[in-house]
Amino acid sequence: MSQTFSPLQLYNLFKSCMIIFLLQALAYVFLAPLMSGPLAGFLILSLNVLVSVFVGWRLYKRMYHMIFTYDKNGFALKKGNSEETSGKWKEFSKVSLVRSEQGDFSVRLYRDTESFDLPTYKLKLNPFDFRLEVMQLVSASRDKR
Amino acid sequence: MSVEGTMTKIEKSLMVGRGRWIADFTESFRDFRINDVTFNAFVRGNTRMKGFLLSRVFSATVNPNYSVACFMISTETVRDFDRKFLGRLLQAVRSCMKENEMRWTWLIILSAKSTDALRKLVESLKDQFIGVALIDVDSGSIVNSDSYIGKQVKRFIKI
Repeated sequence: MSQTFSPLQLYNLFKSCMIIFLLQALAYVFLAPLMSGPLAGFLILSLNVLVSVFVGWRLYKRMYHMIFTYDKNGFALKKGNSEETSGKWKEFSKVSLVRSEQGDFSVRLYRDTESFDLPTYKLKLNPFDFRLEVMQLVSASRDKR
Repeated sequence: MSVEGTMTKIEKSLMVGRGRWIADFTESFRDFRINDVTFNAFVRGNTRMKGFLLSRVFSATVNPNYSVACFMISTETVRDFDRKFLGRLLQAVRSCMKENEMRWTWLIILSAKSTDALRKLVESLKDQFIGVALIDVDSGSIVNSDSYIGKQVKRFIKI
């Protein structure tokens, strides 16, 4: 039975919204002399926030949102609108746990000289437990060969 | 705590805890095989610390960038853990060090009930580049080899 993980990455969502918010704020700086009236500032801010949330959400889904599916045979990882990466456990020979410079953990799968990282931090999986689970899956699928 | 639990605790401590004061341990393997010996855990890294701007500058100018590692093995997974087997372990560690150009390593032996003979054996080791430590999981006591690297285990690993 396959399992799917696609948690909301709050930091990346916030980042997407902020990018849109700041871009709009920059545009308003140039348009400010053309706008006047007591409610203009409040309306502009409200509109900016609304557009930032809406467009930021779309940007997050397009760029950062991850969907990870795995079962006893293999896995599939999709990030935003990019192409899905998939693999079979039996293709890999070694499994390790890696900590990045930022302190994020990933489970690294080795295939000959290549490696592929499953970002456990972004998928909100316990890296230490998930590593052991992946090791079992790799070992079981290699035994089957 | 079980031997496996203690091993995971040490692994975490090396990668995100006190271990980071001595080296930047970034990658950990389980059931790591070298020649005919299988270590329960193998954590590797280097001595060049990461951090924010000032730490980075300090590290790049002062710290040498040595590859280092920590091997862990439980006596429960070995039938006869004696002098001969320890010799094989050290030989495997040395071959890994040579292959990966490692400057120093720790070899941590975890035991649910360590014997006097094993404690004396560890204490008698004098290798300056491999720090050996025996951790009694039940009592939490740590016995280390007679070298600078060996003595550092007690400082950076707490059970």
